[in-house]
Amino acid sequence: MLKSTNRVTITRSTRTISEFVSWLIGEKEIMMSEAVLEVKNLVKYFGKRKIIDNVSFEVFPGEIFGFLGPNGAGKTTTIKMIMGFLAVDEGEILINGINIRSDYESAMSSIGGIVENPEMYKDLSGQLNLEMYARLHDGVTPERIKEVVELVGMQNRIKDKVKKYSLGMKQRIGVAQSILHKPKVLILDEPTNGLDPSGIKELRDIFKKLAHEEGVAVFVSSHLLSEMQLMCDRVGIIHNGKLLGVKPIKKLMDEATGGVFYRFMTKQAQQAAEILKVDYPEKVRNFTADYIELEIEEQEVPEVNRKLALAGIPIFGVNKLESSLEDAFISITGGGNSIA
Amino acid sequence: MRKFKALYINEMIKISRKLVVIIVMGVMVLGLFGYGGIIKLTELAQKRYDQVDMSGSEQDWRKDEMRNMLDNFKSEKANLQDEMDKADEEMKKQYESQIKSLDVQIEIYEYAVEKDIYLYSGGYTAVSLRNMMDLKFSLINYEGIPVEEMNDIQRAEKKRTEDEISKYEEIIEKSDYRMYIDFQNEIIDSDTSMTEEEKQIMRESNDLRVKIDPTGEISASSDYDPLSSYITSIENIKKSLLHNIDYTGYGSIKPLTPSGRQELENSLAVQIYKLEKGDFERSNNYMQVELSDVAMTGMLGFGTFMMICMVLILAGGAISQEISTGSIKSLIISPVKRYKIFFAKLTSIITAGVATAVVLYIVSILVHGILFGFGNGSDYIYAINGKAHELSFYIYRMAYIGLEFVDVLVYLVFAYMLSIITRNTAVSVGVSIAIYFGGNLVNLFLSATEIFSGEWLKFIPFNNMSLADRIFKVQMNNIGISGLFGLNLNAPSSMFSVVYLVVMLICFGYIALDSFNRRDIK
Repeated sequence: MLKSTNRVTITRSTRTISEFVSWLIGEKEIMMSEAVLEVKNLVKYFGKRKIIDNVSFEVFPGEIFGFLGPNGAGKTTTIKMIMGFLAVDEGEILINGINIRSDYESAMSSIGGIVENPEMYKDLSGQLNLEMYARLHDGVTPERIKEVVELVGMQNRIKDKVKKYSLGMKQRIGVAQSILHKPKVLILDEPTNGLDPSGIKELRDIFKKLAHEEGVAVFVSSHLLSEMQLMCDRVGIIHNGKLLGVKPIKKLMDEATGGVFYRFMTKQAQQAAEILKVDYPEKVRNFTADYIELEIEEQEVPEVNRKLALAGIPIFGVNKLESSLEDAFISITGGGNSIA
Repeated sequence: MRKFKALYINEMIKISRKLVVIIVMGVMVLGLFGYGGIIKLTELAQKRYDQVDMSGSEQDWRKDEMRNMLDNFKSEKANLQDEMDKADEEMKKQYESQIKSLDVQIEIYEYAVEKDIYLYSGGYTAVSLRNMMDLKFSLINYEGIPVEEMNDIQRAEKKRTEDEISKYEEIIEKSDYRMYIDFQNEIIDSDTSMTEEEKQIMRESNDLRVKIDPTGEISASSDYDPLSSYITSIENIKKSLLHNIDYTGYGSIKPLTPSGRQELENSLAVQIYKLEKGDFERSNNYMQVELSDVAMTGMLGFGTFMMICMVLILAGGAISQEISTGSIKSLIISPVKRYKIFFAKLTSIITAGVATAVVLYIVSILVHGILFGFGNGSDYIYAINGKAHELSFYIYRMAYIGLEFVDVLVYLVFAYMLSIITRNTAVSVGVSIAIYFGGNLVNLFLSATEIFSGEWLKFIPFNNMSLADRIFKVQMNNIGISGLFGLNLNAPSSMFSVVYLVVMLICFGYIALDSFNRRDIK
């Protein structure tokens, strides 16, 4: 009883977020505002291997765009191409409407971010690191540095050398560095790595504030779906270098939370599957040595149970389950961590 | 440009916080003081040694030596006389001639003791006395022959010898330096074995001697006569030029090449200039080198070594270290084009090298001044087209460091290139330091063996390095660390080397820049 109440609350809260998001990035809004980050038909080869295959997407001001994919899918490679680490083999990248090929410096001046782990000059203080970074941008005042340091909560340790920082502190300094020059696009590669839960929440609030109040386009890559669920407005899913689709988080959630299925515990799942194929074609979701999963209505459970019992297949238990975002993700990407 | 400046400032901040910079600078300053100090101690020890020799009792010591020699001759004569009494007729004649030459020696030494002349000094009286002794030896041959039995030549020869002896006697009696010189000129004039040109050279030498040393004091003041050896070396150069044969080199005598001739003419101008300037004692002469110059050259050599070490460590890690620690990310995500990062880094490392060179210059000038006295350094004297010029000590040493920096620059850009291409700090620092040392060894090998010869040698990079030592020709005895590996005999002309090095720098720079611009940073 208690469990189901909880579930309802979660569903409700996610619903409200997705409603808010759909209001925020409603069709009209998208049509009217210009994309600040445009990636068109991006291709990258490592040797002869196509690592990024024709990836295109757009990120708009005021939204948090999630870039979702398993390890090795090409998330970091895409980000590194956007940030100028890797040469673009084919396709175009436009930042704030400026092609990085034609005017690299002005294009890059409206972008900020963290790639993989934030790496600083370890022998210098956090303050000096920020000052050095600020020197390369226009109009970053000492007050702005102070403001950003306070925003990430590092004011007490900012004079220490970076080598004395913990991973979480480095992450905070990295975030401070990336937003120092008020970029129009903020690119974050797995930003919550190494942070404790409260740190994650703080960071999430910072990103939301930046996106929804200051109109920054935030581009976040992650393989953590729960993270995306709480933060992103739209999600692009990348797998094996191909962008499988870009969907508002609301739609993704609907797909994910829609499916309810039942797990029948049995040692003869193979036989059970063969029997059930006759009466319930397309309903067998999955089976292993220990169970078989069926996508059926609640009222069909006793009937299924009866059929299996008649066929001499003993059922040790039945569980009602809901498919999660992970399942949705796995089903979209074709499952597992297979890096093909 | 503004972005470049910002990058440059950032790079300078990073370099200034590097431990290696502080360590190398510290070691360099300590090393300079240490090197100078060691040479100073050597000088002090030498002075003490000299003082023992040349102290107040010097005259007595010399007199004693002369008396001892005299006593030796006398006792030897007595011995010989005893032996002669016992010997047969045949042997008696031999003993007689020996005793006669001993008589001459005894006579000369007694005269020397009486006149208070040290026979082995470089003074004109001593030289006169020595000449007198030689002449008297030759007179012995005429002794047994009656005048009427001699032929005309013998008679004239005997007469001439006797005249010369009395002339030398007169010179010594009157202590007349001018008369000595005039007499020397007379002898040259009357010498029939020399050509007129050779005589001219000899006469010029005598004129030079009078000009530098009008009273004959310089030569007489010490056992060793720096002036004579100096004038002799000038004479040799002149003779070489006259006969177009290289007498000045060691070993084989070869005809002069046009460039060798040019070089000799210049060196003649330098020698004469130095002689006239009066500091011939701290001369280009291989025998004599001022220790303060040795200290200075050594300090600069050591400093250059430290400079190269530091610059190689900085340049060899410039890009690779940033890539391995990941700190390059904050550079790449900055809105600056890569070539600006490339040049900012390069410029900052060069700045660090220049700063080291400035510290090296100031500290070595200070150490030199403190230990050997300020304003005491040797100026550099050089000649162009047979005309001598002078470069003051301070400018000379500055220019020397400046030329050494050309080498530093080449190694720097090479290490920087390796750092970008290999992306491995250990490899790029290691390889460039190995080449720095190995190159000198290759040079040594190539110049030590004459198996390898020919035009192609000048295209070996190492043969084009060490511009400083080739333009400012370092004296053989001035062995600093940079001179440790010897002078390179295969070296092409300086102009060729400059062009070669510039081309090499551009190639290294281009390869590095292209690689840095295009390659992915994964």
